Amino acid sequence: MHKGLQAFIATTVAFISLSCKSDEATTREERASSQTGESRSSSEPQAPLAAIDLESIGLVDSFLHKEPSKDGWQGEVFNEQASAQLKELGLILQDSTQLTEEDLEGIIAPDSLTFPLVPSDLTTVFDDGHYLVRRGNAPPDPGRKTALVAALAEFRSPLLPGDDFRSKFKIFTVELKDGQPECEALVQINGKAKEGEDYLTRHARWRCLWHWPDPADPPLLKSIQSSEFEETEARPLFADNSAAVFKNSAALKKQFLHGTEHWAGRIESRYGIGISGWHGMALGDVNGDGLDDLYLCEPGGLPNRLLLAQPDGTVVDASAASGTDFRLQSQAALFVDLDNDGHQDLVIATTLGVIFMQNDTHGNFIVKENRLVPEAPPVALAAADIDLDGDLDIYTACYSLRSSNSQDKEGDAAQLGRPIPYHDANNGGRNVLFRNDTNWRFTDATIELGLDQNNRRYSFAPTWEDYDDDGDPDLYVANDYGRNNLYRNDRDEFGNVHFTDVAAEAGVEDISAGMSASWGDADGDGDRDLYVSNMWSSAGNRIAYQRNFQTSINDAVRGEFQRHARGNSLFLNNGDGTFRDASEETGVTMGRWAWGSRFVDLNNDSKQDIIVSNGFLTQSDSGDL
Amino acid sequence: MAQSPAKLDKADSLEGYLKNWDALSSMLTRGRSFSGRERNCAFLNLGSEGGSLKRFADVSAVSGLDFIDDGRAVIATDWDQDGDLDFWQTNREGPRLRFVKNNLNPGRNWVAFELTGTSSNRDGIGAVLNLEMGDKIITRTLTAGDGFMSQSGKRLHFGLGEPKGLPISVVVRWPGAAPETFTQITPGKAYQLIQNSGAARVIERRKSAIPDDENELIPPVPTEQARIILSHRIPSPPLDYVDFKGELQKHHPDTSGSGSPTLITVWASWCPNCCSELADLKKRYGELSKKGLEILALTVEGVPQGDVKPDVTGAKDLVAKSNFPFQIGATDQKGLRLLTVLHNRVIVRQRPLPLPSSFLIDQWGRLAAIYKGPVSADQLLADLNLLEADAKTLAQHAFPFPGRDGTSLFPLGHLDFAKAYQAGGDPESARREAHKVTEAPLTANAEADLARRAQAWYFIGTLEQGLRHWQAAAEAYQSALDFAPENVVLKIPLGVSLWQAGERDEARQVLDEVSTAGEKNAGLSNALGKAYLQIKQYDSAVRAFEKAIALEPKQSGYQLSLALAHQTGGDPAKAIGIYDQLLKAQPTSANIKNNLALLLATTPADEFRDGKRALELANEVIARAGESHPSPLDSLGVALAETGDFEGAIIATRKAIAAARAIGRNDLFPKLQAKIALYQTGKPYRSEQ
Repeated sequence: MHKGLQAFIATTVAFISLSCKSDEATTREERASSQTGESRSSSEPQAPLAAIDLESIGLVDSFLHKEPSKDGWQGEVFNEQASAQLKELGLILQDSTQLTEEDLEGIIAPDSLTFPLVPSDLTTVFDDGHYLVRRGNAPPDPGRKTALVAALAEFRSPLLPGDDFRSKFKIFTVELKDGQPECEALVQINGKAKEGEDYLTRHARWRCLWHWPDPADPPLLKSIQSSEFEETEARPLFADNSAAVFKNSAALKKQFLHGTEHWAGRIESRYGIGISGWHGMALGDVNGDGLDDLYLCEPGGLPNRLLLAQPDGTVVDASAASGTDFRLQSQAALFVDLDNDGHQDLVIATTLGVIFMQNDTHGNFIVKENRLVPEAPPVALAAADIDLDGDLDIYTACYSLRSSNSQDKEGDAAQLGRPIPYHDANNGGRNVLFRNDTNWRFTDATIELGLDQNNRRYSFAPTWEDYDDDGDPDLYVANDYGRNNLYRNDRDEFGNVHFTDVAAEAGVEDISAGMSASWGDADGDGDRDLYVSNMWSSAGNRIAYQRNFQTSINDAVRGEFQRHARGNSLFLNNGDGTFRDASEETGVTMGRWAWGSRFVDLNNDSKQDIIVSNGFLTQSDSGDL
Repeated sequence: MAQSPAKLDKADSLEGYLKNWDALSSMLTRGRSFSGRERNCAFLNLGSEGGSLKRFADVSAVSGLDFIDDGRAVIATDWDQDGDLDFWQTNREGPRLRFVKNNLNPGRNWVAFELTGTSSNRDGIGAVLNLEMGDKIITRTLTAGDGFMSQSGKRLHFGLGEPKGLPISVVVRWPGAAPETFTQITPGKAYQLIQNSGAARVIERRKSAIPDDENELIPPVPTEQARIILSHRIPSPPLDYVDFKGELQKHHPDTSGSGSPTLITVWASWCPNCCSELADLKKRYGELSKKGLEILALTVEGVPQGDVKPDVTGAKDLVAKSNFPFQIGATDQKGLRLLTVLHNRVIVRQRPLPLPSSFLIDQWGRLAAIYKGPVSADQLLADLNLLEADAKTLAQHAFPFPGRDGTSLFPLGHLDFAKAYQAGGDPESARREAHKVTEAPLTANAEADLARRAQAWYFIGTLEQGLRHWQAAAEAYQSALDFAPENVVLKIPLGVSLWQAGERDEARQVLDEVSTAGEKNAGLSNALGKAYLQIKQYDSAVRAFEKAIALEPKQSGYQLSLALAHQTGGDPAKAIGIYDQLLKAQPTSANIKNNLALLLATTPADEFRDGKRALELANEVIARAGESHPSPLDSLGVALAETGDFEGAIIATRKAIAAARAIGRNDLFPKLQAKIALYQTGKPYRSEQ
């Protein structure tokens, strides 16, 4: 057993005095103080006054590197210090108007020279009147070394320092070299442009050389080699308009304004509420008024909500009136016309099972069928007419197994599952295909149709697409903790449907922490490509590449661990049933700890852009893992 | 991520891994941040160059989309119908829902389509649209469910770049049907495309612009202050404490129902909120105690706190000064731990308890409410009324909003799980779940125990029977019968299983017992007859059905059963006689006609075969019942084949296959396909005797 496993860290639980009222309305910006890395909990109770050792947790493995120095991860010790230095550098770039050697004292080594941080061949590569993109790739000219402070000033030069300025540094490789460590970091600065109304971002990949004679002291930055420089500029086209949409519903505001932690601290866990916040939504016109309405799945104990769109852009809550305000822990829903009567019916994936509801033609819903899914709570839904018989069949993905006692409600620990082995887990829940056998009869046809192959994954995201253009829908399933499935529909001339998992031969196994998947024609060649969101982990990148990471495993398994932290994947359809992994060359891997993602045309130029939602757990403790 | 064992066989390594994994999971509920404060990403597609896709540009920040809420699901939709794609996003952090508007103000460089399938599914889900504009082709598919737990709407949005006045058409590849081209599409409009209509219909915009001046909603400042009313109470633990005279006291909850409701509140003298709470409780103690409430106020100042040594001086001063009318004491580390664990059993989000925190225990010694932060006497007086409230009233306080419970939709007994497993084709798990009932410990209610066991064994019997595990089925039915000896019906499947298992003598004996019991029970006799049919004991079947008919002569179902027994037992004449008799009484019955048609078309007895009449009957059945069920179509097929129309027979049988597929009866395929093969060689079908 790894000695890190044996380390016991005693957690101290502090009793804190509660300040019950806070007159200060903390602004969103203050709360989201990501740049400073400060706890966003300035409004939370302060002043720990008693430290009471309640429980010792057997911990902590090296990935968590809570106390890296104990685990013998010298690289992680360096990372922690260097990250703090870069964060400080970001604050100085934000605050200092002039940027002098003095400002950077304690961050950079004296008299440091570096290559320029802005390439000499910076040119506009895209301009559609909304978004402007400039890039440069000229290799650094060895004769053009400048002072590090001047190079940093040039890097920041088109941006206004001050409140709108933000920066982010993520170290993803570390090489310790006897007091002269090197690291690679992804760097990003954003803010208002000095001129005009636009906002501007500069991204780059920096190879940083440090001076670090004494591990007790912070390292000092000596020089930087920049690559993959990109500058984007736009007047922000997207804005949150929730206040306008929600203005007629106080209850909705109350329910959705509070975060998951608020409700998880107030509602009994027996109703299934957890802290991970896995809750989806569906869009469909339930009352035939030509406006799409929104159904929201909610944690156990909070009612699901049906929001009816109004012609003025606002929403009205119709959840109770429509019979859809279940307080069951719900993950996903679909609006689909299951009986082909021209009205949108509703399917809901709840922790206990799948509910099929019929639209009474007026936007009210009646439970017609409910199917307990015994082995694992359903988490996601996707519909297709798999046998082309004219009605829609429903696939439901399940994540982790129910606890051994079937009647137990799910707590959060159960939600995360216990993947074995971590990088290629095969002990998750079994996904189910409910075939529509007309008259609201749904038959579990999973085994019969061949969909039980590789069906013990921690599935998050099923999605249908006829990727091989043979006229029938095929199924991709993104799975957490391991490889994904691509079930090819091999429908025969008699209409018999059988699926075969071809993920490996098609090149889309994507061994990683799959969270979401969507299809779209990314390269405009007519066939549908695939974007899968995973987890980009700077810690994973750093650690999985170090020599003392899991010394007992072989290189192949180590490679799988490394692949795990790479981030999102873009697979381009070759048109012959196989795909090409174009993730790295197209620069779309770095979606952070990604969840929802999809192809979308942001600027109406007909090309499929990509958006990614991310962030796992933002909590009041400061050390993000 | 914990260190993961690469293989499962290293038991100790696995144990260590799981232990650490669980510890990690547990840390997350205790407030550990994990890849938090990450901003959403947006990557702009810059198109292709030299046949390969260019690097996407990172426009996360400049687009305004880089929210920082622990984002989860995201869907794209033109919510305001102004020609660009907006977003709805769900988040973990507050606000847990955002509407994000695209202010592209696009003018006319877009077009959108809604689909209506007629022969394809009505929603048109799975349709692939190729929009053609000059030499440009833009492809979109209508999906239902993708991304993370999301479904975007059914309106397919196409950005057009620069339309330049080029003619636009769209080819729809409908699922399972021929492609269809719609022309004369004008940019800047939304269209409805109805399958096989040939023309795109304009959909007018139905929404006004959403004002820009009302922006994001700011979440309230998080607070630990909470009042948690339990909908399901749990036992509270005994608690030891030391009173201010230094004596050890024991607070043991009275579970008899005759105890007093008790408020246990933890406090410290340096905590202003604690002091004001205690002062309020003291002032209103008369009212509270009139309602039977006892109060136990425990200071935490006797517990060592990091480097700070326990010091109850402040607490003692306060108590001396205030002369509280209720019990006062100091808790120790163990007491605090018990209260924290009590809280954590109810609430998944585990944080250090704030001061003050209080626990309301009911007269049965169960936890009824938790108050984090000070609780007022007014609140307590109100909540004391809830101690004997019914479930409905409690729910109004336990949940922050009204809602539909929904749990009753899903019965969660082991047998319910077993049945769901069976339906999913997982007999092993089904058996395991059912045995949880048969092996459950006995309860006080012996009668219910017996009934549950009988039900579970019966379920196992049907499960084994379905798997043709005849011996196991017989044993299970026998066990069911042992627990419910009065239930004679159980002997029928028992007899069948014994017979199939080769225990013929036993089987006969068991079925004879049913026969005796059925002397006065027509239903039982009919069921017995069917069992005999199953094991091909036609004479016994005929006798059983005749007995049923003798008891209830008007029950045409029994007559049909009898006819079927004769039909399969090799006496077509008798069967035809019964069918004709029945038809006189029910001249329109599809069931009777269908059975008769089958018999007339397929009986090996030449003198009774009558293809012409069979065809007439089959056509009458189809005229009445339609083509949605496979059986009449199959009958039509055999009748056509008998009359020599093999081509027609093949078509009818193919329709039967399609109908079988539509209702999920794939088990019928082999027999129907074999018939098609037979017709292709020009031979009619004959039933076996």
